[in-house]
Amino acid sequence: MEFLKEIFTVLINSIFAQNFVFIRFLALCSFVGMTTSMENSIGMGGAVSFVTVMASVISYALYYFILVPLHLEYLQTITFILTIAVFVQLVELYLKKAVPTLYRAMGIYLPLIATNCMILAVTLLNITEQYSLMMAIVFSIGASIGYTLALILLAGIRIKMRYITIPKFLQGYPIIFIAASFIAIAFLGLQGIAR
Amino acid sequence: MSPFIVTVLWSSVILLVIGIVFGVMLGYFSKILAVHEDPRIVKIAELLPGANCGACGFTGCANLAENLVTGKASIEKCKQTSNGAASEIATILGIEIDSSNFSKKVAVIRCQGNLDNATQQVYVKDVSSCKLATTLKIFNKACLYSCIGYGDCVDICPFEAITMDKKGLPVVNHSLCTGCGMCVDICPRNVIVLAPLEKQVMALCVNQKKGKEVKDVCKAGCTTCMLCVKKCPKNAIRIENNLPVMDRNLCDLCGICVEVCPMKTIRLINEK
Repeated sequence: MEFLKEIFTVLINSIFAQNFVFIRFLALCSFVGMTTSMENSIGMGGAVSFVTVMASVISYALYYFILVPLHLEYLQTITFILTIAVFVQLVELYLKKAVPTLYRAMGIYLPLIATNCMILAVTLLNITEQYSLMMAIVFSIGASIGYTLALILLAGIRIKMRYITIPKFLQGYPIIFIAASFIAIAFLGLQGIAR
Repeated sequence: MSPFIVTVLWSSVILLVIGIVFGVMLGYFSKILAVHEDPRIVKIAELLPGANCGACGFTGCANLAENLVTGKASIEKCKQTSNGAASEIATILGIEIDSSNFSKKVAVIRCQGNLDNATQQVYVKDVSSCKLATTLKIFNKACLYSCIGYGDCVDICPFEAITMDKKGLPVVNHSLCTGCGMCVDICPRNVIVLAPLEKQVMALCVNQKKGKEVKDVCKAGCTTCMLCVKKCPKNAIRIENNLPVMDRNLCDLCGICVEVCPMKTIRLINEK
């Protein structure tokens, strides 16, 4: 029971209370760039989720089974980036084969998942928070759900925004940032829901 | 060996091993997930302008290239292909094309109804776009064919090639215009046309009325006096919808029509 409670706490914390986009302010580039349509944002969320979960498992294994026994903990950043880059390549290959329309729609943002700071943050936080492998997987799933949620929320608002009159000085990115900041404030109200 | 060198070597070796393992893995997956693309698609995509403007109706140049290879589209769809690129694409595809369709085109504003020429009627302050003015049917100028002058074409132009002059008419910068045709589509009065960037004569008026009706609303509108038709030594001018149309195959750019036109409607355009 205690174990289930812990899993639930980590999951809810990583989705809402410590949402990677709205509270930790990570992965903002793709958050603004890929929310032009619902299809794009869901595709991006799926791609990033896959990379995050796989990379956190593999990097966890690399850290505890290779780097720690060899006393090379200082190599964690570079090995984790290597892991992430490999999975991004894998996703790219897969999308090009299976969903070419999404592959073309995502354009430059697909290879840029490699530099998505949320994924590196998840892998590094798995280590610094000293999670077990099970917890690391739960944490990375929570983080990717939170990221996808953030993309879908902003994409929904941006689709609605096409039909309203916006003052000229706010057109384009300014109004998007304002909308994003309001969502962030709303998420601030969820602080401390899971302890 | 000093401990420093040992550390550097040791970490490099470990990184190298991890890298090789990952590399082999990726190589294996790229074999499994390989996409068999027609090599012609990549070649054609390189020859296309690469602006991804979407004017051809496909999502981008790569998509057009795909449809060219499968035969679902023709190269004429791309309004920005240069003559040389188009013929190269045709050789790749093994088809014949008419190369005269691919000279560079620019937008031409077929209206001279600026503040001096056109008769002004009302001025409404809050109307800010041609589209809104058309919906409300409130126009500054009395001419119902003229440029409305709120600059929807200026706003839509993705290359910032159109600007408004001081007298309220849009001006096209030929070096920036790519001939994408977005202004042609947005103009509610169909004042803008695409014309090849070559020296030619054109009547800069789209008013389909005759005589006095035109003269009342504009000092530079075509009154359909037929003088240009009569004076043209090559018989290259005919009248369609009460407007002179020049046959570019017959016209030798003598400039007589420009001189005789009493309203100064016919002009020599696209001079380099």
